[in-house]
Amino acid sequence: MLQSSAFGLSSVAASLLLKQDGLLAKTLSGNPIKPELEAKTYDLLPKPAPYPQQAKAMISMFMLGGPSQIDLFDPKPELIKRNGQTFDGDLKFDNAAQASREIMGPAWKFKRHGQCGTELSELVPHIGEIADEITLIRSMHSAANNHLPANFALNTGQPVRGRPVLGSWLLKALGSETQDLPAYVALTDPRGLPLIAKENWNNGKLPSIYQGTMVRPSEPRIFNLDAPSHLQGAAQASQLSFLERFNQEHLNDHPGENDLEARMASYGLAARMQLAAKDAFDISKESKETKKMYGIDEKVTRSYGTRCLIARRLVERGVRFIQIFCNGQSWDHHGSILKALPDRCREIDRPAAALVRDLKQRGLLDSTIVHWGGEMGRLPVIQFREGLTKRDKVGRDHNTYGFSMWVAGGGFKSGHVHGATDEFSHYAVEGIVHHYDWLATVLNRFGLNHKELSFRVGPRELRLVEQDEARVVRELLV
Amino acid sequence: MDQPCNRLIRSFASPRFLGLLFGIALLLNRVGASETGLSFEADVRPILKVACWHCHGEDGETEGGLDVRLVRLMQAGGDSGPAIVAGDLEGSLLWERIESDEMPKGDKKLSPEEKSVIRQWIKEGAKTARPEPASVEEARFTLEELSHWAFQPVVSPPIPKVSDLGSNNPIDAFIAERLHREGLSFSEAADRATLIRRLSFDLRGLPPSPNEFEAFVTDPQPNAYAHLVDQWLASPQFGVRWGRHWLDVAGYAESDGGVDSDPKREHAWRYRDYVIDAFNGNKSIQAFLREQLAGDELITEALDPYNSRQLELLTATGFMRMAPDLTQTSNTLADRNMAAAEAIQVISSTMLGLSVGCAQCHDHKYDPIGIDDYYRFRAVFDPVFPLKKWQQPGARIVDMSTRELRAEADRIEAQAKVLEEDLNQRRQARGKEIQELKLEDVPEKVRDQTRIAVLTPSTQQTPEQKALLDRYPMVKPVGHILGLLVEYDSTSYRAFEKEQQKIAGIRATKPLLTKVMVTTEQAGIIPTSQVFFRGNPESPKETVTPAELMVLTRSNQNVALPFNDERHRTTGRRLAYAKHLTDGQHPLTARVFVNRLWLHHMGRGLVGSPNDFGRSGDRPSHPELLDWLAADFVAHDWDQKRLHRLILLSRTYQQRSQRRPELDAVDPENQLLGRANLRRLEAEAIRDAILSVTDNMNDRLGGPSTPVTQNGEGKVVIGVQKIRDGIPVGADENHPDAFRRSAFIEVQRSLPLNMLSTFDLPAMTPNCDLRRSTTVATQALWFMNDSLMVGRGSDLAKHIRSRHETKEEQVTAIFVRLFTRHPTEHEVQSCKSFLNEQEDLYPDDDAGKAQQALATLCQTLMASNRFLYVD
Repeated sequence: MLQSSAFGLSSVAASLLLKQDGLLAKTLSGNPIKPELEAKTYDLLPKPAPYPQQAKAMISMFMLGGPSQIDLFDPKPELIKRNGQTFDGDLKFDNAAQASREIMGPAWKFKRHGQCGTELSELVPHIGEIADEITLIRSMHSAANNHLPANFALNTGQPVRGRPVLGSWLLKALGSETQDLPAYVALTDPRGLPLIAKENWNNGKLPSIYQGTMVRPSEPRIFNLDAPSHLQGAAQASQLSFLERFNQEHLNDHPGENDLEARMASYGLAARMQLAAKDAFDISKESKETKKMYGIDEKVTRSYGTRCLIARRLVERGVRFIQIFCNGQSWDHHGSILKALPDRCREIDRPAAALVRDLKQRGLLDSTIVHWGGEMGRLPVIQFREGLTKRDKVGRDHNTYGFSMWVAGGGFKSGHVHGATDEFSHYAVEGIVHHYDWLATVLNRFGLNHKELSFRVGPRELRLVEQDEARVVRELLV
Repeated sequence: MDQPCNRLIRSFASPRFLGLLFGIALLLNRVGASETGLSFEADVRPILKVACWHCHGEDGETEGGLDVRLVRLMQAGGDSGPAIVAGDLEGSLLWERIESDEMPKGDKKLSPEEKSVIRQWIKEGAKTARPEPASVEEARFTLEELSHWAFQPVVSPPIPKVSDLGSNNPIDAFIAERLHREGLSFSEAADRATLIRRLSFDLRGLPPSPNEFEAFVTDPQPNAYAHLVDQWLASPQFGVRWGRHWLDVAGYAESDGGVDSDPKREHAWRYRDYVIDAFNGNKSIQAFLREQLAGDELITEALDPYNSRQLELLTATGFMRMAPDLTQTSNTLADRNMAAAEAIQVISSTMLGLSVGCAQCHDHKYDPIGIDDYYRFRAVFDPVFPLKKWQQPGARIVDMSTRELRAEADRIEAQAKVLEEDLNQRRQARGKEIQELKLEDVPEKVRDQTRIAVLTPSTQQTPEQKALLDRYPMVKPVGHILGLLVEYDSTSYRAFEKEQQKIAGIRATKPLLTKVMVTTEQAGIIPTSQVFFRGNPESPKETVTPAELMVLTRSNQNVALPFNDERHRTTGRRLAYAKHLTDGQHPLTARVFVNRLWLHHMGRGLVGSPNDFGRSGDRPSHPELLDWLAADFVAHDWDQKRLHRLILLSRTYQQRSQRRPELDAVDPENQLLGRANLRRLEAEAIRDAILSVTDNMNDRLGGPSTPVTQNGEGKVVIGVQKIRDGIPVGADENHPDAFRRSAFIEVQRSLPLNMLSTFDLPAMTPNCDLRRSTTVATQALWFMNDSLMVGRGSDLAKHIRSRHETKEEQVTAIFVRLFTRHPTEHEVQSCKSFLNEQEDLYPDDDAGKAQQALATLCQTLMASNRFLYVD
């Protein structure tokens, strides 16, 4: 009907209309064209970045719960001086029921480290040793004052549930350097999944091949990676080769069905993954010195050290994005901070520093962003979780208006401190880095522009960073 | 998905066909003639509505004094003067701001195509299609928006006359006529072996049995196929298969959907059974939809546990509460509002095929649905979702158990109580003994003091007493000792546990009470329905009364719905609305439903977006056929089995699925249906097919779901948690019901069965419009290595070996079971040599090698595309 119409249009216009009608794909000249509304296919093949690219991979050590910047990264003489006095400034409590205005200075000493002289707490001596490699940001700000919104803000750009996380965006933009391993890996803690579990590596509305693959804290690190005993080796090779022939005959009956071909190819990937993933997760061949450096020889650091070491092995093999999680929200020290915070630090301090050092000695640090931080920090005043009298059980409430995190490699400065909070370490006041600035800056290091990286979902254009005011924080970059 | 220009083009409505074509030519920069006939309403307004209205027109926002909702308002302009000057691009501030990307603010600028439309329109004199209305309110929706095809009444078109059709099925006439227009024609019919497999999965979600296959391919009757269709439409498996499709759109799940805690909905399965029974019993779809929206309002007499019809009607209303609802654990106003909004989304997408929820915060950006429209529609349901008088999920259960049932349950409970009390007494006594034993370790001179201290409630203890107890930490109150009994005295702990389990066993013999998840109204509670400003329940604005969406009312006048119908104990709103929805005149209800049936038979709906018939959804591939089917369906009393039969007996359905070059050249997506579609089985069908061909299927249909849990590996499997000394230690996977059909496996939002989620089981957030099919390595790994898969290969090998001796016979039997056809000679040979190859890998004297090799063959063939796809 349409094609025989006498409007005398250009053939392209007419066929565009037909496509728009959701129907045909043939020009009047008879040449087939691809229909525009055809479902797009997505893959993980490596893609060039549109702009100069510093970082090829990222390892994020995510500290859910909110490590206390006051006790770790942001020394404030004023707090020590006024310890125990009443705070009379403006305070943003999250839990008013247990709140107080009694100032609590840091319980640990700070000292200068490295050539740069960055001041860090005695709770993180190993991080102190790599002070010259890192950029410490003391002026983070999200103003999303609870774990869920703050976590979403830091990882998805906005304090709401369901949006795609940073790792998924990186895969969408850049694909993966390896086709034998999952391109985006979440490494989890043996004591349990992080708060909101797999929502932490959720592709949101991006195609599902961009979701993170959870790698379990113990074997089997990925389900079904091991052939059953009677099929190991030659038996499975023979099985897969028979399957391939059999599928090929089926494909011959259905020429042109891409889905069938893709499925045949997926067996190839599965077989390669069996080998590649086993190898990537097997740290037994690492040297004794390496294991020692990561603290794998000591009980307290073994678990986190192993995950850090696996993260390095994955980066070596071309995995794009790795996030290492603790269980639950284990940095959420509302109470008993005097005991719980040192416990946490002991597990993580040595492995985290080792990861930076190890990447550097292997020449991988320049192309790998290493990030250490949580979704928030903590307040300068006491939270009395277990009553006013239990002074040894006190803690600190949430603070998302000023907190710290650090980053190394991937084109970030080294031996640098950026930004500052007020004299009480409550509000970021200098060089404020909003969560969306941070994400825009990470994208920049990957050669991506946060204003351009987008994905269309129905009528909506979705972006990781949608805030107009977001900026790349150039001061952090080399 | 939608590209910006697609949206643009869509907004050109069909009456403006000529303008549309020229518009496209313009977009492609192929504009030859100077005059393109662009109009504000059809071309420019849709762009401004999305990009500018938020600050310049909507909700009284007119930044800079500018309102861009009408041409004359733009000409009048704002604080900076006129925004547009007809025919004068340079004089038009609006153009200046848009071109320089100064406007719209934010990152999302207009596309070059959108800009070029606005530019051309201003140059041509900023024309309107018709004189603009006197007030902006009247201009809220344009004729172009209101005349969208899906909002128009269904008009049954004449059946096209097609010569040499070779079929008297009207469906074929519509499909053939459309194919002929492109110079195309039907593919030939699929052979019987292909057809029976396709039909079996389609109607039952299971492969045909070898007997069914042999009977069908040798049946000399010309109506053998029609006979088979009837036979399987009558099979109870039909309802399981087709009920599952409906459960997708209803968002069926047996948990509330929280992340940190995901409370179970223990009685949700009754709704699942209701749906399955409705399909099996060929309940008229008119009744089916009415019962789900207003089953409670259809009950006129007092509730009577002996009335099974009442039970059915109450169960049906579970539909309205299938969406996630977090209020059991976090019951804030925002949580309640979200639960209500998601329920409304499920209801509207299911029944109307519209994304009504988009109008929750502001007027719908694409469809003519105003924010007030949304809240009027929602007001129909407000009495069941009263935000101020909210009932948590646990409070919405109605117990319809009969007296006898309850008496029996009470009798067994009493029995258990007696045993339990006795057990508790002995437990207390043992606790006391242990306490005494620990006191013996305390030096004699302070022993009595310590005893007094531990018997004193901790709040009344003196500092001295506290110090004493600190010194002797093993001395604890009896309650504490019993809580840690496994540490103090594991022998008696385990003995007590054994008894406790025995008591639990007695309790387990209680008859299942007839508890139903009901959605109804609380007596006397009629919440005030209000528009929530920008969707925020904390900002209620004007009051509204229940009504159908304005655009769906035939005369564009509100269909009157009662505020409170005194004849009912409830308000009667939902019943009135359900009747209106299913009166046969509604433009969407029947179209949307027949499209769903078509989708599952053909692999694609006539409308490709089954839950979005609006302007941002897909246009129908065969609009006349869709209307004919909808009208015919209504005219035949919403008889769904009749409609299945009509589709299944069409030549269209029975074609081969192979691609043909002449089709691919024109229609690679097969939207014109010149062939059937090759389709991958859905998650449930894969699992069920494997259970079925390996002779493992547990035939028990209906009833409470078989539980899922996490095993030691962290995999979600069928089974229950094993508890040892009070601690969960992994799954007991030897569940007697492990091999039931997938529809009867528990659906927990936070714990999807690993096998099913591997194969794209949808997350019900809140419901699922269309199943997606991915091809990822984890699926291959599942087929290669998962113990479930490997075990079933072994089962099948045993089954086959016990019945067939030679390898030829074995291979033939496997092919018939798996692929519903006999193997070719070549296939037999290649399977045989594979068996030999595998056997050679084992030692000569390994007695199990023949079984093992055959098991591997079975596993491999079940992993093959020939098994996984349906031709």
